[in-house]
Amino acid sequence: MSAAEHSTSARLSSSPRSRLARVALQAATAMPQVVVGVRGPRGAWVSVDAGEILEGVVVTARRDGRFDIELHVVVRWPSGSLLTLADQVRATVKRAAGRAQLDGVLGQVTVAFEDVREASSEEVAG
Amino acid sequence: MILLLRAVARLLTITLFVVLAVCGLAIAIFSIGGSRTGDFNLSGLARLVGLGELRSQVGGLLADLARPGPVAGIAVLCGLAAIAVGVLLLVGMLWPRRERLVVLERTAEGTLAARRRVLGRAAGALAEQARGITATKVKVKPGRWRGARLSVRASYSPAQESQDVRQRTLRALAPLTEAFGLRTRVRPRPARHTRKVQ
Repeated sequence: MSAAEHSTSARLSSSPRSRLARVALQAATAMPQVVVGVRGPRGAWVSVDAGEILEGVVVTARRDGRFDIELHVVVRWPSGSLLTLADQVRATVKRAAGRAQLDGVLGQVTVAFEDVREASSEEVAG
Repeated sequence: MILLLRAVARLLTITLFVVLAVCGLAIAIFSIGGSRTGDFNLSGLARLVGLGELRSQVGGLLADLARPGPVAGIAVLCGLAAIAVGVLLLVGMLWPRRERLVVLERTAEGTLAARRRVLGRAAGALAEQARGITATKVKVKPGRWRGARLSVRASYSPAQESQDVRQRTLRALAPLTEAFGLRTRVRPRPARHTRKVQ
């Protein structure tokens, strides 16, 4: 393997941390009440997995080998109770991490609702 | 006030850094010169900025300060004022900024936080469910240390009593305010136009 190929594969590699970031963000944004992840000021809330920038998720390593997740998301309004929605997001992330066999490294899940977006009339009706 | 102090502290910091950089640059340049004769050395720099005259002037002032008299009194007052300004600038630099993200809950599972806009929308939606309310305007003021304060202006139809409206609004907001320990202030006011159908 040449140096350039080695460098490219290193850049595109995944780690449990980055895979957890991807799994958590995908699980959260797949929920109908969650619109999108937020990049944050100067890209403070992004992670990189396999060379792809994931906006709205930050994964922090803990001493015990697990990873805490911060999700910064825009929610669709009306979304009901913020507390219930946060619990649903956490449960969804936990299930997704379990399916990806990453539940052993999942720590706390922080949910930050950064903005709201109006649901369209079809979304409200449907 | 804190914003002003913070701005002054920042301006002063930048100014002092610029002055320090210019002084350092001048000393470095004159040190490189290093000639023992002429003006292009540190002695020349001292002559150029008039350090000799400054020493004689300051020497006179210091002599006046050492003696009891009006100069000493003024110097004490100036010293105290300088300390006060320094303390104010420190307050301006160190006083925590008001966090725009309101932390609503911290548990072993994780933290729940929301921006003011999200919290305002949630509070407005709850408050508008109270009977007799025609419109609401919610302001969220995050606390400096934790939590937030909701300020709700509730417009009500003329048939309602102000106190009842206040109580009903507080009850409607309870799922949000009690769950997250938010302080709430409700200001009912009669609606000019009753737009909302109850």
